[in-house]
Amino acid sequence: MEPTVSDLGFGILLPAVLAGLLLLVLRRALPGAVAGAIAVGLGYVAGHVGLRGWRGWVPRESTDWVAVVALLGLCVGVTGLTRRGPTGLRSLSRLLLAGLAAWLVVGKVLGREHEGLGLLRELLVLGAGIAVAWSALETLALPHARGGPVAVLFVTSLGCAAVLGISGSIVLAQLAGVLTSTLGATLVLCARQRSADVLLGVASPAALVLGVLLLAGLLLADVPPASALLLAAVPLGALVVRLGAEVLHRRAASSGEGRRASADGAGTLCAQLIVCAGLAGAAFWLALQASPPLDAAGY
Amino acid sequence: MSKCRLLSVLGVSAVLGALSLAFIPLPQTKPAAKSAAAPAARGDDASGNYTIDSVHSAVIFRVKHMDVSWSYGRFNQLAGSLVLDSAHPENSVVELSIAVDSVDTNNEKRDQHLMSPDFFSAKEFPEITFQSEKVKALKDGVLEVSGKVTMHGETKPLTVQVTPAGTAPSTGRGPALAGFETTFTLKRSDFGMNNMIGPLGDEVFVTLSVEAGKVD
Repeated sequence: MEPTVSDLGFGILLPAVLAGLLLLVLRRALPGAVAGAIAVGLGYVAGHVGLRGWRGWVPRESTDWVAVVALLGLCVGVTGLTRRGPTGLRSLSRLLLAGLAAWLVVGKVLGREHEGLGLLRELLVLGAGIAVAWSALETLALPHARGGPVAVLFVTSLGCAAVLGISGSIVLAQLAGVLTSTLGATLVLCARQRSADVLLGVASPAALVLGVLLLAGLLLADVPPASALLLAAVPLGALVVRLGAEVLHRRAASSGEGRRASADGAGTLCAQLIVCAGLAGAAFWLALQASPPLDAAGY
Repeated sequence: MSKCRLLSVLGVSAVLGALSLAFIPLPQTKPAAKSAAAPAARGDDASGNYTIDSVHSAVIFRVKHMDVSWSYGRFNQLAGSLVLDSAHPENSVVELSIAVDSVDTNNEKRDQHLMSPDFFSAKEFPEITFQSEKVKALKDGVLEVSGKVTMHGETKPLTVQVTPAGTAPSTGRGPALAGFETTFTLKRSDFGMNNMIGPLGDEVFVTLSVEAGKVD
């Protein structure tokens, strides 16, 4: 099951190059959030269609709906639907959109065991998981956060691809790989920027796509629930580190001790990445333990 | 030993031997299976409704691996029903259902992969079904069965030649039986299963062997 040239071209190069070009061009004319949403959304869709081919409308398989979810995330990121209005309304928007995304991808499978209000409850519970991670990502996109939040997303996506690959579905892993490529290109272009506004737009398509890929892995393949939970917790882990850094920064500033360290400094980013990589690594280890043993031929 | 004593021992032995023959059950021989084409010739009608016996039926498949060898697998759960009409075969009906999550290739990791969205997506499309639409009698009892097969959410027409394997009349221990076998080829890409075409062949060769018990 070695990757082919086509897999590498459509799964890694195409989404990365397209996302990078779109971000470079659009960022000059449009707000960073809008440019980020378009770059990651279209980059993912191009890679998805490149890998899986155009399989007609209406999508027949769950995995084909993931591209539609990416477009939904793109629209949300461009319109700023979850970034405006009171906190409660923004949270409700995220919950409903995540529930809709979950219904598009795994609604058919859930519908076999639940119907009516039961199905709605299941979708809202699953959607709530995505919405919490999504909120954490948008909260991370503070001024002066630089490329840190995109790095967090990149690590989450990479971990998701690894967990999906070991849990039985190469296709789902490849789709997570497509998203990782677009995020990688975004990270390279945003790493030196002081503003994290691009992440505000990137968060919508990325959180929705990662969320539904994990749900598909959980319900259609054999991703262990504990691995899915750990991956969903990666943005929360980064947020906890960030909040901890702020507390330390305030204490240091109030006591006047030492030189003034920034809560957005390299130390915070390193700590975030260590926590994120730890959570993603633990998710992969659990998936590896739950997976049937591999033989010499890769099976 | 006196002559009288010898005679009495032989007499007792003969009585015990006769009793043992009368009370010890002999192994029962199954009625010899007959060709399914034969009943009509002998006036023995196999017509009726049948339920497929999953234990004595099999769906095995083979697919080319790396263009080098054949990988074999099977589905362990098969269900369905047959309506046989010997006099008017065109009235016969076949319905089959295969549980996708019963796929067995003698490798747990490979079975997991086959059930994932990469191939069958067993949770999304849990069954492979066949519903006959037309049955035509050919020579030597062979039936040409045409119908629709649904797999991986795609429904395609399929025509197979079904060879009767045998029949057995009802006994005290079970119903009348009828057996059939067919082999056919499917292209998995026709059913939207395009993953890994190349390392794994597109054409899948299927052998379906069915034993069914009469229900009425």
